[in-house]
Parts: sequence; C-alpha cells; structure tokens
Amino acid sequence: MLRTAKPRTAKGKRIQLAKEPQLIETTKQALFIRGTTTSQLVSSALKNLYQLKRPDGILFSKRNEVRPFEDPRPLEFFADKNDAAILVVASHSKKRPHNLVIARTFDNQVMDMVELGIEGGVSMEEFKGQKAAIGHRPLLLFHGDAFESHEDLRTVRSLFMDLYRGDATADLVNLSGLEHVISITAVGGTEGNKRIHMRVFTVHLKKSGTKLPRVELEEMGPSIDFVLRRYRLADKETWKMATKVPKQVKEKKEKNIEFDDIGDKFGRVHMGKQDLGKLQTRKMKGLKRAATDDEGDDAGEAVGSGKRQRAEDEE
Amino acid sequence: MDVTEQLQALKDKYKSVEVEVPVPFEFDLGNLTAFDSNGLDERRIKNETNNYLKDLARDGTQLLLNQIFALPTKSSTDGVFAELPEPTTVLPRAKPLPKPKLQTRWEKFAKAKGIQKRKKGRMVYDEQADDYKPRWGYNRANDNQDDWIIEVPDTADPMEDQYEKRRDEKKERVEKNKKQARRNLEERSAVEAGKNPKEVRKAQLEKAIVESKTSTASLGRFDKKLQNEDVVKIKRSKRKFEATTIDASKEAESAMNIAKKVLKAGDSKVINVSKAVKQVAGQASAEMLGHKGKKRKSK
Amino acid sequence: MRPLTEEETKIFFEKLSKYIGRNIVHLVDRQDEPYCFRLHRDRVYYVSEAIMRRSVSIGRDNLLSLGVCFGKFTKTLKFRLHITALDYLAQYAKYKVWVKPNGEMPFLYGNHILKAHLGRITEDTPEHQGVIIYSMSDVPLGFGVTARSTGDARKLDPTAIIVFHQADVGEFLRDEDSLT
Repeated sequence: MLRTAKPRTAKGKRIQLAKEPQLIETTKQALFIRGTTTSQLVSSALKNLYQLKRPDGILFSKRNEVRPFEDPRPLEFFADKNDAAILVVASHSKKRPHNLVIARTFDNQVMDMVELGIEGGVSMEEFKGQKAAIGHRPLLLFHGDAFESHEDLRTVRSLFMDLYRGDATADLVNLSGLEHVISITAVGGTEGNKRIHMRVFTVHLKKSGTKLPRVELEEMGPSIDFVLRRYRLADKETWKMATKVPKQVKEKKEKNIEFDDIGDKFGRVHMGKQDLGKLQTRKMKGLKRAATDDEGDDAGEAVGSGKRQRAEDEE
Repeated sequence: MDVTEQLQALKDKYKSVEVEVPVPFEFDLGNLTAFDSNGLDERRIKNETNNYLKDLARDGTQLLLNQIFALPTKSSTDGVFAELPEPTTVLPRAKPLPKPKLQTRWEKFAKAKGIQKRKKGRMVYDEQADDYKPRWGYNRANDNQDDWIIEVPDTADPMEDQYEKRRDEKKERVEKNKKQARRNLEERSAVEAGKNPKEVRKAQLEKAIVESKTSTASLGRFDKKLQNEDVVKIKRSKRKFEATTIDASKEAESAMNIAKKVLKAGDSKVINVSKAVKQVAGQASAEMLGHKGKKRKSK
Repeated sequence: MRPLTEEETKIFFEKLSKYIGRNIVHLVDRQDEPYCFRLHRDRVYYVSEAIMRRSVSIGRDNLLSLGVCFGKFTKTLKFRLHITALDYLAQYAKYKVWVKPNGEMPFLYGNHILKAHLGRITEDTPEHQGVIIYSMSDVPLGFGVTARSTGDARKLDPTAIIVFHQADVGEFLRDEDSLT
C-alpha cells in the first residue's frame, strides 16, 4: 500500500476520493509497460494495443524491470500509483520471445494474468485506410468453441473483454459511432499449442434494401497471432469478492406482481392474520370485557392505582 | 410486374443481411459483444487464416449489428442512439465494494425521527442589503456580526459589550460543532477498530485522570479531593541499582562480559570492505608468488 | 554516585568502541590498580577503586567530580563523550587523523576538518568512523567522525569536510565552567 497523506487541497481530496472504491465503476484504466528488453514486434504490438485502448490507457515510455509471473509487486505498485486495473507488459527473451502479459488486478493485487507469445503480426501502421476514431467503443466478437471448453482461454476472453469493452455503465450508444470491431478467435489444442488470433476491422454499413444495413469490413490492424503460454487464474475467494454486486445496484425482485400475455398487470395482496380481538366495535357499557385476561388485568390495576392516588391527593 | 417480383429484384440488388449459423450466437449487448461458440473450420483456419477470420468477423459483426439496430432508439441532434440493456457477462470489479460509512449522531437521530434533508438554495435574500447573498461564508446574508449598531436589551447589563457577546456566542457555536465532529470521528474510528466507543472513551478518561494525578510533584497527594473520589493507585516499577561499593573484581567481570558482547555485535555488524578486499587480494598475490617460487625451486 | 546498570554500560561501551574498538577491555581490566565506572549526575566517571571508596563519604550534593569524566547520558539515554575522556581515547585510539599546523587552530575553535588541513590519516578508515585528531607532532587535539572513507577522500576538493568535529581541547577554555 502506498503512503496516503491527508490531502491539503480540495483538488487533492477529490483526486483521493476518486481513487477510493466506488459503488459503480466505470472503465478500467490500463497500463502498457515495456519490460527490460523488448523486440520490435512485441513493442509495436504493445503500442497498437494501447492505441486501441486510448484514451483509457497509459503507455509507459521508459523500460521497467517487471517479471509479472516471478514477482507481481512492481506491477501492483504501478497499478496502485496510476489507479489502473489492467496491465499489459511486453518483454522479449530467448526463452520466451515476443512475450506479452495481460494482468488484471483486484484491490491493487494481481488477480489473474495470461502470458501470450506473439507468433506473427502486422501493425496498425501497415494497413492503409481509415482508422477508427479514438474513444469509440469497439464491437467485440469472440469466435471458437475453445473459449467455452478451456478454463485458461476463458480467462483470456475475460481479459480482452475487460480491456476493450469501454464504458459499460453507458446505457446509450451512438449507432454511427460503432466504427470498428475487434474479433478474437481461439483455436484450442494441447497445452502450449492454444492459439488466439486477434483481428481488428473497421465497419462499413451498406444499403441492403431492408431496415438493417449490410456490413462490410476492412482490416485496420493490428492483426496479431498469439500462442498461450503461462497463465494464472483467479483464486475462487478473490473472484467471489470481485464479482460481488452491490446491494444498491441489484434489482429488487418485485414480489407478487405478474403480467399476463396481453401485458396487463396483476398484483396479489397478502393480508396478515387478523386479530379479531382488537376489532373496534360499537362501545357499550354492557359489553365491556371482564378483567380476566392479563392485559385487562394490568389496565384495571393501573386505573385503580390512579384513583387511589387521586384520593390521596385530595386528602 | 408483380409486387413480389419487385421485392425480389430489390433483394437481388443488395447483398443479404442474413447469416446462417448452426449454433446461434450469444449476445451481451451491454458490452457490445457477441460470443460465437460454433466449431471452426480446421482446414480453412490452417490454410487461409486471414480470409477465414475476416469472413467469420463479417458474419459475426452482421449478426451483432442486427441485434443492436433492433434495439429501441433515441434520436437527438448528435445522432441516433441505441438504448443498451444491462451487461450480462460477469466481469470483476477493480476494487472491493465501498464499506458503508458509519452514521454520525445526527444522522442516526434524523433517521429515527424521520427527518429528511431538504435542499436549500445557495443564495438568500438579505433584507438590509436588499440583495441576494450567499447563505454562508464570506459576505453572507443576515450576518448579525455585521450590525453597526446593536440595541441593548432592557434586561441586560448596560456596561456589557453587545458586540463581544455576539462574537463569543458565535465562537461557542463553532467550538461546539467542532467538538461534535471530533466526537463523531472518534466514535467512528472506535467502531471501525471493532470496539465499543463508550468503553474507549471511558478508558481514555481513566488514563487522563491517572496522568493528571501523576503530573504534580507529589503525585497528587496535596490535590483537592472530590467527595467520594476513587483512590487511583499508581503503579511504577522501582529502580534497582547495585550498591555503590561492590567487589571490584566482580564488577570488572560483569563489565568485561558486557564489553565482549558489545564488541562481538560490533564485529558482525561492520565489515571494513576496502580493508577486507586488500587483505584478500594480498593473500592471493602472496599465494601466487609462493607458487611461482616453488616452481622455480623445483626447476 | 552509583555503578552503571547493565543497559547503561552497554550503551556506554557501544559508543566507546566506536573510537577505541577492542581496547575497551584494557580500560576495564587494568593491571596496575582496579578501576571502575561510576555514574554521578548523569555523568560517567572513570575512577580508581580506592578513590571511589573514599568519595562515598561525600554527600551527593557536595560531590562535584571524581576521577575522569568520560561523558554524560542525555535525557533520552544516549551517551555523549566529553573532551575530558581524550587522554584515554588517544591512548587506545584505533583510527587516527593528523592535522597540519595550519589546520590546528580552526579545529580548536570548533570547526570541522577540511581536506586541505588533513596531514595524515590511518589507512582504510571507513566512513562515519570515530577518529581521534592529533597535531603533526602527535599531540591529541580532540575527536570526531569521518565524513568520507580514506578512499573517497582522495577524489574530493580541498574545501570538502573530511572529519566532523565533535570535541576539541579548546573546550577546556570555552566551556571551562561546565566541564567536570
């Protein structure tokens, strides 16, 4: 944990407040970090991934000594310092050439991460044509049954989705702003042979003669082929904590309200059990209850003592 | 020409927006995401990866956009907006849920009594200035500290300074508020530490009493006593020293033991690096020389 | 007047060992006559046993000093060496620094020792090491703590501080009334 001093200015206080846990979270910030050594391929991939994430990402210009799988603490430090929850680390070594690690933190502790080796790729700059504007939410496509059947690939999918889904709290989306699509395809296989293909296209809408437009795609890059290397899945306890839905946000189930096929609303009202003893009826002297039950007894005594009191006062 | 023919002609003119997939896609429209769990074409992905991926992506995008365009829309000057449903995919939060803040005493009271907060406007009409002024802060409205003349009430002491009185009253109010805020903070920190605030306060007071009693030279012996005041026992450890004149040899021995301990600790702590390096280097060179000398001798 | 407690002895010896190292042993275990350390009004005195026994008869308020004062304990229980201990420190010194004649006066007026005034220094003196200061004619002048190790000192410019001043014999004049 970083040292947190009491803020001295109102602005500092606002910044600190913004770093505290929020009820409804918006887009996760991502950090793009270069390791001590990087290859041309992996650093351009890192840059392209950052360009897709803009403006919710920070690309570090300096190299940092980080080895996420050996020691996650430097990553956690960066995450805390920059208030970021997703970290992408590029590195290159003889043992693991063109290496990209995507890690996700919860409460500034690394929760899960996957290591992807880049087998080949074409950077965004090499594709001609219009690029999507910064800040538009991409469409996301996940192809392949391997995503369902493999636990590790499911984590990969979850990480990519978390990275690029944009502001999920927005309930409106501009239809003309749907400019690009990120398509991620998983090809299953044996351990160390699972491949993930990432392609990014711009979307062109053509007339189709119907209300819906015909979609044509044009590749805008980057196009990267990954192979899955090491991974670390989230442990159950942390995952449970991280996916807790706040009570205030959770929809309350409306009880006893039904709709029929036409859409008419039906409510059912439950009556509590009625205590007929307390029923207010017409008061008559003759019908006054005898002082038999406890309640009546108490009342009678109280009245009696009151009378006595009054009598004494008069004396 | 028949109408159906016309329609058919129109259809032929454009490419279809329909895509057929064996297993229908799953959509998470809140995240603008589609999941395609159909099996891949092994042959095509191997031989013509890029084309195959593009085809897959096009079909997928078509299906996804068909869903999005079918959503209810809202239009404004900026364009047409689709109203997205809530995201369905479970993605983890970045930070844990915020802990509920502890209520202050006033908040507790207000809740019990059903008192609700009312929004008050920032600006208030000031009768004297005949203008709207801020409710509080600098240059606030209806500030009785500003009155240039104050009527002395009949019942008041004529010599009393009415200005000072108002100032003091205000100071007192501010002080009271600060005290209450402090108390709320203390209670909150106690509860967060899992303690009963009343107990904590009690312990604090008891400690303060003991400290105040020990603060006089006589440890409170001559202080004024309250009626039935509890007797506070102050425990302090007695200092124990050796006799001034003890056996010299014994003393020397114990001093020597301590000295040895100190020296041993000091030795392990500090290594004179440069000296050590020189020594090692010197040894090595001496060995080398010795070695050479031997060789020469053998020759 | 009382003997030092174990804790006090430890603190005292730790400080002393910074200047004379293993030679503390010689102070404790003397061949000629038994000597001991005594605490009186926060000050530590090094005194022969015979004198100590005699001084017992003097009341606490009246006893001004006995033997040689080595220094005093501060209120926070740290030990501070006084210049009066110089005789013993100089006798057993581990690391020594000699100042040139032109540096003697500045040091005796309480200034740090600059590189320009440095005549000679024990080889391989580490950084922050307690050292005894001598004039070139081997007269002890005081003591201090090195600012740089011998190796580092070579590269410094002449105005750089080599030894931080802690105490010097000039204090016998300057602090005449408070020294005991």
